[in-house]
Amino acid sequence: MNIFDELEAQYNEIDGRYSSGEFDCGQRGWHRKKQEYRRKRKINDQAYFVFMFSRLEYRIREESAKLIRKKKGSISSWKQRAAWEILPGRPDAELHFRKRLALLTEKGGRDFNLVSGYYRERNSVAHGGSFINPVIMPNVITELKRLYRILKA
Amino acid sequence: MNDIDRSYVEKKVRDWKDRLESLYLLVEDTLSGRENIVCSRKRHTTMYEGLMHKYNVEAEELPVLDIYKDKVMIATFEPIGLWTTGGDGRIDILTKSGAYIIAGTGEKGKKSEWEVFTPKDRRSARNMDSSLIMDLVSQP
Repeated sequence: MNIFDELEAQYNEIDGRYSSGEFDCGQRGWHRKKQEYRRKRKINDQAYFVFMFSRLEYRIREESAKLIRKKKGSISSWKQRAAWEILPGRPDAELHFRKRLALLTEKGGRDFNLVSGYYRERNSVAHGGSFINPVIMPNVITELKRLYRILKA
Repeated sequence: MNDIDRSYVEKKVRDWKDRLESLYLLVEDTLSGRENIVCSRKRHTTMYEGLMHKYNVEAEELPVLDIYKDKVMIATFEPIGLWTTGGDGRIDILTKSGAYIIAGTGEKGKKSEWEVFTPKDRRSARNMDSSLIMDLVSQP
């Protein structure tokens, strides 16, 4: 089982328990407790989204650095190599995430926009806020897995 | 995203209410005639999303659809949001066995405008149709 499958299973298990609790409280007319469960579900969505996105984020950092190193080492003409020479070859070096992403998928394309949207949500949560928009986790998890697989140097 | 203005947001909200209405009608029509099943729209939830706030569009009251079987509540359709990441709107169906997640596909006029992830299978989406609704009310 890879890390995404493991996180997905855990996420679904927890959401299942909380949503069942949310329904149960609604059935009994316990509105305050129902809202508590709703809030727990939201926080669970955010926690697992950020956790899973962080895996994709590091993948993009690694693969973009690999591509930069590959280009630096394989292009013989200095003129063509010059643009790559100014980019860092380490995943932890300073280079904006969207620039790294644009090395792996077409800027403005569907996947670029998808990851950029996820990145906005990730930043909103990671910087002390919550989701900008509610997330449909089953679809997002499927996309995160696909992106992790295809975004390569 | 640059074409967003107040009238665009108002239109999207109206469209969302229409889509909800169609969905609820599908559920009610499918379950009509079953003596032990009752659908109720007595409860409401408030819709006031980020873009509505930004463009000064008034909050809306959206109906929540409760389904009762033998006078016991067995499912609740709760609108979660129109502007969502990962789909064109989200509605949850809360049940004893967990939440069904309904995601708008944004494909109006096609076979189903909605895809549904059940509590048992969050990986493969099902169409929102009468078979799913019957499964929903048949669960133990």
